[in-house]
Amino acid sequence: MTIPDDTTRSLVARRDFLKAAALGASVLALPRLGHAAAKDVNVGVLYPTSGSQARFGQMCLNAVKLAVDDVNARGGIKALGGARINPVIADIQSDPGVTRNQSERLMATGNLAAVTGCYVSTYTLIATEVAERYKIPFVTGSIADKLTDRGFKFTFQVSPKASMFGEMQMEFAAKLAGRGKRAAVAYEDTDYGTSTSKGVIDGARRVGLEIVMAEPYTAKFTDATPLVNKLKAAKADLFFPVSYITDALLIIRTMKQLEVNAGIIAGGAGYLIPDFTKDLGKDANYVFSAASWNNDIACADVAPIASAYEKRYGEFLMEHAGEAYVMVWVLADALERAASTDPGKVRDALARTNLTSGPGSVMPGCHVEFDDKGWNKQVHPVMVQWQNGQLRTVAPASDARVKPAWPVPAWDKR
Amino acid sequence: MDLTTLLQAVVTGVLTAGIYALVAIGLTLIFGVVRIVNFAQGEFVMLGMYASYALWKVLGLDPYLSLLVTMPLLFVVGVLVQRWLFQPILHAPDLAQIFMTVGLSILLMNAALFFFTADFRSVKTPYAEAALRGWGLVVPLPRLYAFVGAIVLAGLLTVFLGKTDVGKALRAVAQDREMAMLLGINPWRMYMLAVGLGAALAGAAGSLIVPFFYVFPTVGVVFGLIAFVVVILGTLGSIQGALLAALVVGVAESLGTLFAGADLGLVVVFVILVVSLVVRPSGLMSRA
Amino acid sequence: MSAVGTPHRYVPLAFLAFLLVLPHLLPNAFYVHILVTMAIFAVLGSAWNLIGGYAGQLSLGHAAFFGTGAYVSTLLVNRYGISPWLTLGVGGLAALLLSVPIGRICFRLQGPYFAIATIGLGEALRMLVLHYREITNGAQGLTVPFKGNAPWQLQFDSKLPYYYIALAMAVAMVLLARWMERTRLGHYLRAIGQDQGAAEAVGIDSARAKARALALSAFATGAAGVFYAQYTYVIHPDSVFSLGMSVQIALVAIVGGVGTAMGPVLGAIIMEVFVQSTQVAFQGEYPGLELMVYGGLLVAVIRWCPRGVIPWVSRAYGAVIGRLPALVRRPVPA
Repeated sequence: MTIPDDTTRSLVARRDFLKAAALGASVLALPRLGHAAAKDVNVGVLYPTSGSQARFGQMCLNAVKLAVDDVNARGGIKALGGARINPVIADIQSDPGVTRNQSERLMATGNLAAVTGCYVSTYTLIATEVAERYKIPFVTGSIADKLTDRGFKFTFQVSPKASMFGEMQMEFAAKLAGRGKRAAVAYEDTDYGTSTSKGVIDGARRVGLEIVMAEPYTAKFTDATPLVNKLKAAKADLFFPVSYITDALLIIRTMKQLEVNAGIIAGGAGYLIPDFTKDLGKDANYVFSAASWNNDIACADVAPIASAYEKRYGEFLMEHAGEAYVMVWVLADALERAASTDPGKVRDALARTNLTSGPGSVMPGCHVEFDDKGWNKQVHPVMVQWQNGQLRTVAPASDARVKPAWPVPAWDKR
Repeated sequence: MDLTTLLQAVVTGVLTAGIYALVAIGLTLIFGVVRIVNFAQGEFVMLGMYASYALWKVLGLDPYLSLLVTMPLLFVVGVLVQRWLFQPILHAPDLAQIFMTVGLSILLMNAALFFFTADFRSVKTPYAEAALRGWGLVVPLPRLYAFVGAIVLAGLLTVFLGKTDVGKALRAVAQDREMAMLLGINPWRMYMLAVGLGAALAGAAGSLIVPFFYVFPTVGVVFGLIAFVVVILGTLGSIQGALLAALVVGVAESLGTLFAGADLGLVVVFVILVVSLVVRPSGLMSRA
Repeated sequence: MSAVGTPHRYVPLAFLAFLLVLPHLLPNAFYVHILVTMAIFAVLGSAWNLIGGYAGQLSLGHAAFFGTGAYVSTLLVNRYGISPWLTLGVGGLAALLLSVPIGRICFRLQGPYFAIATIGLGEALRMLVLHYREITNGAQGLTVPFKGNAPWQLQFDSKLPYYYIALAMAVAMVLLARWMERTRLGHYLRAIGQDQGAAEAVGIDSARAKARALALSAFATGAAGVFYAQYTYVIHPDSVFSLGMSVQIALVAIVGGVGTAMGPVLGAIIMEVFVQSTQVAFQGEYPGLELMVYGGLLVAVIRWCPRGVIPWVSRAYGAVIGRLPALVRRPVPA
């Protein structure tokens, strides 16, 4: 049991007598461990599989399930006598309050060795606060800098940080288009958009691009025309949107409609998912984006993972789902070395992670090693581009699989 | 700021107004007759969108033709909702009625997620990208059709309410149920008719929106909230008011985006709402 | 002795005593977390009930007060190191101040116009908090830094202190409602809630009565916001200022029964049981199913108890109390 709460710990023994007293609520909240054998390793899995982030959350959860099956099929955790990983899944409903509640529930009652999640930085910030108090290690692929800047001992971030994206994007853009070009930035006004765009705007000044528009917007619009109209008036050469899904799709469609021919260098999320090319077809081509992961990065183990996912779920393995897959293997490696399901020992093993091969190393850089704050210091973001309906890595040189297609032709010639 | 940009913003605002009006007319009709503020109206639109999408995907039916299916389908949904959910609580406080529709909205949204998954779907039509162009302005045709559709539906509804016997009976019930009963009108059937029609209008909105917008479980939220602002601004129960208010809101949002910023477009709308309510506490069309 | 001698006195006291020992009887910290959540929503529902229940003014913008309390407090705590114990009052006062213009604007309106106007103001405030990120830190929200066990900073290792604070607030709100029911203000509010025109006709200054009730309600909601921020560590415009939060606050009162002191408390318990049981039942395996069932339960409750569960519960309670013996024999009052 991992209950950081001194007062309640002494009461665990009295549990049987007290179940009835618990407002009849004792049937609630007891983790469903029935289908797991005694020696299984419980790993909490927190993703938003309903609500506004459901599409992303479901892809991540699919990847986690695949990874768990893969770990278990390869003999489970050998140091624990072949123990299988048992994912204890909770839907955080794209809601901060529910995230808090589900984190509490899993961590207090789930008998967990570790937790992974939550895709959206906002929710991960909450869940990691809870994990720190319960002293259970939390492995995430969320990108907010703050996650590992707080000096937490139980948070591990495998992904590049938000602040790294802007700089890379801008250096890439300056190299591609030349200095002195006009750049416009539009970003959805939640945490994701504001933190990512900050790096873009700062980076622009450094590489000598002129910012002619920097506009936050509310992603729930029914029409992108007002925004794109403004973009058109700004006469930008390069456009840096940071968007979720419908806003990403509407922005591209509307740019075509209003014949705005700026080169698009997006900030991830909605520009990286199967729905993007499914809906836009050839109009998706030539769109660039920053990404914290891609299914063709220069790691030996990425291809079999990507094809296994595609075979099982009928769509390609996207950025964050890829990381969700990798994180399960990072955890499996730590469990193997800890030879224990005790969260404290798993945490110590995680801190000593040094993966350079196998599925647990498949991050850009092909190396997972945490610094003393819990951030994977070997990782870097990559630039990708849609080419012939495929999302290909085009930068940096160490990861590039194809050359960037540039300049971008007019919309009717794509 | 050049003139083209400004004009494009106005044109866009007017076209967006068409969409808002589509959703708002059904809402205002339901309120006008049954006195229920339906927070599930956006989800009715969502159902209409999924129905249109399914008909296109399975049968290849054009979304505009699917109006012939989505409207009757949603009419039935509306009648059932009135009969089984609204009618039993007609005498309960306003609160209970509002939260009944909130519960219904959560239920429908998540039923869609459960049955249709969170995938973002879209209908592909040859005219999806067609547009009228001139003087540097762009008028996307599917949005223009939706705008025209809103005007036509509002016109038909006005004629129905004003000229037909059933429409007159509906208005009689809306004004005074007891009196209508004395005249031999069955108010419960009129209520079912009103909610059915309101839902059918939401279904029509779904079919008219689907050619240029995406279908996903929470899409109703996008259209639902703004529709409230529209019906309140235009006086609850007034169809002409809803049209007028939709225009105000659509253009204000578009110009607000242009001048104040894309994250403040809706703030401008809410400010207009509050200011106008201070001046006219029952909306633009009130006789106060 | 005679003060606690009759069932309608000693039963509530016994219940309170039960609530005091309850967390010690629970198997782990998560149950205490559920109790804390219930208590917070009991406070919020009771606060909402003052204006939404008794006076019948259907506010769907209470998140504005809640968020104001949470934000003002957390900003003061983080920037100036002020103890959250003090900001409990400051956050409440900030919300109270906000209630003045909101009341001025919205009390001119009636019925659905009032409700939607409060939604509009609440949403506008949320978007402004998002927009002015120099002050509010925008969408990134605010974090209460983790201090370990720091009672002066309103942070505790154990959940028990949080529970007792929240419970104290909830009890205070119930007593406040009980007290208000007997005051002139309480009578005015009920008269307004039943028929504002009639109330004004008999000389009640409805604007003034409503403004007072809203001020009380806003203060309590703001203070609850401060506590919530301390308890939940991280706040965002989209959590504490959201329409969803406003809806939840009102919902608690409605499911329990508006215009009664205990209704919101019952509502908080019932809604939390709904939330927890649907979240546990399906283990996140079937996306959408949890909230589908939750929505269905909500529809069912309102369909069959449109006035909340309080009429049923108070009937049952009355029946039980009638059968309980008086501990002290007292002359039957005339």
